[in-house]
Amino acid sequence: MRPPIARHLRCAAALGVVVTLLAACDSRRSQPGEPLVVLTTLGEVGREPGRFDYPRAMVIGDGSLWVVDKSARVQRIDPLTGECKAWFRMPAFSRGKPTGMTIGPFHDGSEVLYVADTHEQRVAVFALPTGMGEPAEMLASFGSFGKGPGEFVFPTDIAILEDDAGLPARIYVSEYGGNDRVSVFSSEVLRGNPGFLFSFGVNGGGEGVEFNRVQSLAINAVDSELVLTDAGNHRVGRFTLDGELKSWIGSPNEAGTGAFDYPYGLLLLDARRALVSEFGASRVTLVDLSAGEVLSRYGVPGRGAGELSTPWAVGAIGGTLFVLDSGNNRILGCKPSGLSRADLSEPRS
Amino acid sequence: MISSLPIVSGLGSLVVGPLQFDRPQWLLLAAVLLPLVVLIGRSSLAGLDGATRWIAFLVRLVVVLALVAVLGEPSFRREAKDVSVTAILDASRSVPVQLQQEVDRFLELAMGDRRSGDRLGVITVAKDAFVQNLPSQAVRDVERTNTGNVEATDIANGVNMMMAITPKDAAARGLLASDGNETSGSLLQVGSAAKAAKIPIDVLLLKYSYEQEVKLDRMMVPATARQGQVINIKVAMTSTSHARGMIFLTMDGQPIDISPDHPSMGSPVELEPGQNVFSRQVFAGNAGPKQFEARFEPEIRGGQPVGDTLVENNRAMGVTFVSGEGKTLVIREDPSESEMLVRELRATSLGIQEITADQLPGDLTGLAAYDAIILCNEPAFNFSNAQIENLKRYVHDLGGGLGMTGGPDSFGAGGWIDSGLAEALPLRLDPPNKRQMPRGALVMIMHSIEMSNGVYYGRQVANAAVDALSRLDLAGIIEYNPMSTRADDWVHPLEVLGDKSAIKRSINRLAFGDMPSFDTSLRKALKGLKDASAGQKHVIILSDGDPTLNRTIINDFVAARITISTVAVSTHGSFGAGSMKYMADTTGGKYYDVGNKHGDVVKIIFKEAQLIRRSLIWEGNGIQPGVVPTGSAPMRDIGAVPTITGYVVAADRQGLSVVTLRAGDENDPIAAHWQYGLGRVFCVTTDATSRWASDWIDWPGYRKFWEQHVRWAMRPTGSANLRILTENDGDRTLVTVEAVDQEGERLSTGAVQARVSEPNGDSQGLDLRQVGPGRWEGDFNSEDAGTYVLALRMAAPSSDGGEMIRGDAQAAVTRPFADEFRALEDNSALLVQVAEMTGGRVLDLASPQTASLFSREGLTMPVATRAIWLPLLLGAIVLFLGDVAVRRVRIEPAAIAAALRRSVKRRDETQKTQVDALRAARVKAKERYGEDDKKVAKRRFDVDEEAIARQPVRAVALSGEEEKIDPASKSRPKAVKVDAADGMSRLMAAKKRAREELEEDS
Repeated sequence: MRPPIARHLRCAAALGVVVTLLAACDSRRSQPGEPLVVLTTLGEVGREPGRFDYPRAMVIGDGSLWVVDKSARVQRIDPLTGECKAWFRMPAFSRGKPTGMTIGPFHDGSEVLYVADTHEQRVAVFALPTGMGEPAEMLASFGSFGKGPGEFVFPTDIAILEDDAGLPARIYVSEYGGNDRVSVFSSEVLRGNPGFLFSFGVNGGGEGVEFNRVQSLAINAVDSELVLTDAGNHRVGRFTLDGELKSWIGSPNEAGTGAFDYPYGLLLLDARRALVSEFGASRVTLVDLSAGEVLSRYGVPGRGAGELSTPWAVGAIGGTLFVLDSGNNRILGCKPSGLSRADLSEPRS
Repeated sequence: MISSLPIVSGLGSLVVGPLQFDRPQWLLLAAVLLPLVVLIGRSSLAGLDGATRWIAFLVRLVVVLALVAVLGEPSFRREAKDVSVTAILDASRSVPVQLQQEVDRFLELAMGDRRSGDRLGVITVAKDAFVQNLPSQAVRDVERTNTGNVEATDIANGVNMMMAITPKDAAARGLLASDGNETSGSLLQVGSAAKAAKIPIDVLLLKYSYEQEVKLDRMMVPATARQGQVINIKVAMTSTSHARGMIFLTMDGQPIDISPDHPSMGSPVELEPGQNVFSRQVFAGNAGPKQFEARFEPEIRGGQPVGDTLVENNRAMGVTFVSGEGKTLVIREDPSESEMLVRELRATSLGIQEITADQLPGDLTGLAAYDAIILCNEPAFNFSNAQIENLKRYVHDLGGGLGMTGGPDSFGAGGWIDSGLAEALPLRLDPPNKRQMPRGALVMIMHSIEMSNGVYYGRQVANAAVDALSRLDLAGIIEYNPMSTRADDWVHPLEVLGDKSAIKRSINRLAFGDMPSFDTSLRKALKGLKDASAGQKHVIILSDGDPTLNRTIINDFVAARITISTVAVSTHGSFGAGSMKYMADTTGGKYYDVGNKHGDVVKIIFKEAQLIRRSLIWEGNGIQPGVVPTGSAPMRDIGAVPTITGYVVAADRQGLSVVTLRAGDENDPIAAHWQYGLGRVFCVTTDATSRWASDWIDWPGYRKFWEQHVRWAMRPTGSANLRILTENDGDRTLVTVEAVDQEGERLSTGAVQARVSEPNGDSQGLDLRQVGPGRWEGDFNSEDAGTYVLALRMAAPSSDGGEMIRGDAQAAVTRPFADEFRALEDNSALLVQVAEMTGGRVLDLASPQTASLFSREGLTMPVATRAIWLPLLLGAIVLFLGDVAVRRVRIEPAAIAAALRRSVKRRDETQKTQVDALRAARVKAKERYGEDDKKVAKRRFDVDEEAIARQPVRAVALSGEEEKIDPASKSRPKAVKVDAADGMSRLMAAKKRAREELEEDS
């Protein structure tokens, strides 16, 4: 008769084999990246200054991180200490909170904060706030609900094309909600005048100019390109500044089977490379835009130190990559392998 | 701070500076061993010279001390430096709001002594305790978000929670801001626990006193009365001062004119300090429970009430059950469902009243007015969960009768499967497994995270949908879980429900992620439903409409004839869910925008899930149900019934209930009844209209059939005369029951069954003890505010041995307001007692600056210890080796210095000799080869393969033969050749000599 201990060992070994086989069969929907080397963790869950309640957009400007969360607060965060230097609450938020922000020039050349006020169907422009909780000065806003020219359903992000003098030449606004497109405005809208120029894109998942929630926009001034993340179609698109499609990276198949899994955040490192934060895969992907190839992936899903949960945005400043780790209510400052300090030194978002 | 003196702490531990010994008794060994070491050392170390001996002696002492210390289990102590203060704030209604605001300000201003690293946490306490902020360095002020039910105070719960969330790496201090009036729990008890945990509780006394206050203590009304009887109502009041005002009285919400001479309906009263009683006589009115309410309104002068402060305790309530003829309630949504039935029953004396479900009395007291309730083709979703629960308790606990008739929206087809009422019915609403019928398939796509309490409602909704389905149906759930291996995926695969336990477990595992897109979920649902073997296929989506949608997918649903209904919750404005409306409109489903009325969601989902439940209805050519010969009262003298053309499929309870009619190929039950708790229930699965029972309309037995069923179910009117008396005693209510027979004689024996229905929906049996002839007593807990309904049923043998004497009665006990409002002043004494017990302080609300909230005084700093016996032991071993070395190795500094000098000198000479030798060798080599060193070195490590090939095999050393020198090897260095030949020739000569010597010997 076989001794009990041997039987137990045999059972344990068999169980281990079965579990291993099952684990092998149940491959992850999306492959995780290499673990992030975290330099600093900013914020935690909460509604006090410096804490976040599901942050959904982050932009870098004026030497700080700017974060908006589901409490409708826009906070200015010190990238070194995580301290909140200033904050204000959106003037209207009962229907929902913003999902995109950009810092760029106003028509008078001053640096201002553009907010995609998603559920108020407008783009709101604020002077950079300095107070702690005081209302911010709204310099301009444009857009209203509708599907017509210059109207929005759910605007998600803004990109500013600057002219040689550093003033806004064009303002690109993405939206979703059945009206998936990118609308382009002149700077006249900032003065309260009609400024709609044109729009491009329809709802869909085809190979043409079809979008399913464009979540992020960025302008590659070197090649005169507009780069965007088509989140619902799991791809990144390159367009001319007039809205002509140059190429897609990724495919609109089921999430996790292609290059991206709900790409939400976008950071152009240079004319060739970009970092994309993937909401679905909880990772950050370095992609070669011209070759259409994935170069590296960073981050694994989870709640622990250095792990990511539904990251909405990425940005870089001072040689550090900042990932808005929305599901974990924090910002991770990290140094991905393969990227130099110079790649991450300019304020980018 | 680390103690510099040895102290004994904890369970016999000894603390010496930063060290702690957990077994200090072993240290006593030192007292024995050290003298021994000295004694032995004096003799054994005598041979060593002075300095060496002392060194060896000291090393030996240290080794012994270290070993003794190891036995004492030493640890290194590190004390915490931070303080964590957790504020427990009394948020109950008894604390005036102004005082609560002052407490918040106090906390913000009382942090003058807060150091970096100190933490503040906030707990609010009322009926329950809620953590507003976990102890953190970031918390600077008070944020009260959810304080729960504030009409009770359980301070002890707050203190318990404070101890639970206190961090272990900081000294803890509690701050209790309260009036000290607790309605449940025991602060003193948990104070002892805090003392044991060494957490001092500072108290902030919230003092108040209602010098002018009127409180209505209770209303005394008879528990039962006869119809038209005049009853006496007494209201007991307490006043703290002379007060004037008006008393108003209502019966079932309608005001009673209790002072006809006065222009208003009320009666003016003047109250003296202390107890006051107000008394009036009123007519009891019609049959049924009568709820009386008295309300005091103080006199108003200058816009301010005089003599009264709190309005919450100005009410008192009482209930009298007025007996009369029987009453039957018929509930139907469409009057045509009950038209024929009601017309026939009105010809009897059953007291029929028709209402819709939303008019159903909301509490048991209201239901108790009826002797039977009949549901005519009513779906379950017409009733709230509370109404369903009340119906069940009405039957089970109050002894009421219940009937349910069939129809397309009734029984299983009406979503009653797994409802609270299903267990009260004499039929199982789920069809048996063997039954062959078309099945429905339902997929739920859950995205409820955006609604407040989204997790709670998400689970409620999913459970409600599953409850509406039968065991034969298929159901699956899809959601987005970013932490899952597959984010958009089946939480529960689309499969036959069976006993539903598997899908219920899956519902509990729902993660409720923020779904970015509908597309993947819809694709999976489409594939699953296409592959499913089912008749009706349906999808329900619960979302805020935020996920994106590729609308082309919806066309595939249309092609597959799969409907999608969408329920939009907490959408981003009226246009926030356009994609959800599109899905419903395109596929033929329904679109619901419930906004923030989350309570409606469950009802809607329930109704939607029922769309696939039509398979439970049988309709066809007329069949005649067969009468099962049971001889039961509802079917008395009914030998046959007409044909029916439809019924709802159900299953019988396998002998537990009485089935009186059966029909169809499967012998399905059509009519059944049983006893449930104190009450009776009947079911007829065909309807009472011309839809399915057209032949019954002209049937002479129609009225008899229904009347007998209703009369059988109605609450019986007995011959015993029961009287119930109730009296409040603190948190408990004393119940006295008196029973007499028709002659007024007390019943000497009998069995009394009683149940109490509580305001929170629970019910409990009430034990009644017979304390004398015809007299029973018992008591029950009645600490919550609200109405407690008692139902009694008794049976006793008659004195003449005839038919049993039976009777039933109801009574109600009310607590009009929570005990929270009974206290008229604070209970500071309790708080001071707790502060003294735990070593805390009594703080002054008016002086936050001097409060020293984070004071270290009296705090026990937590200490983290780390065992150091192992490094100490290793150190002792090393020292022991040192001891050996000191004794065995003679160390003379002068000799060592001389040796060092010699060594240095010799090394210089050696280096010089070596350099000279190398130079000479180099010159010699140059002469020999005529090459420079580099070439030699290069040749030394290069392999000349041709030369190797040219070399003959040199097996001389092994074979002893002469070495054959290849001519090419003549160019090799002579010295090498000579050396090799010389060595070999010596070896050969030795061998030759040995061989010669051997030959000579032989």
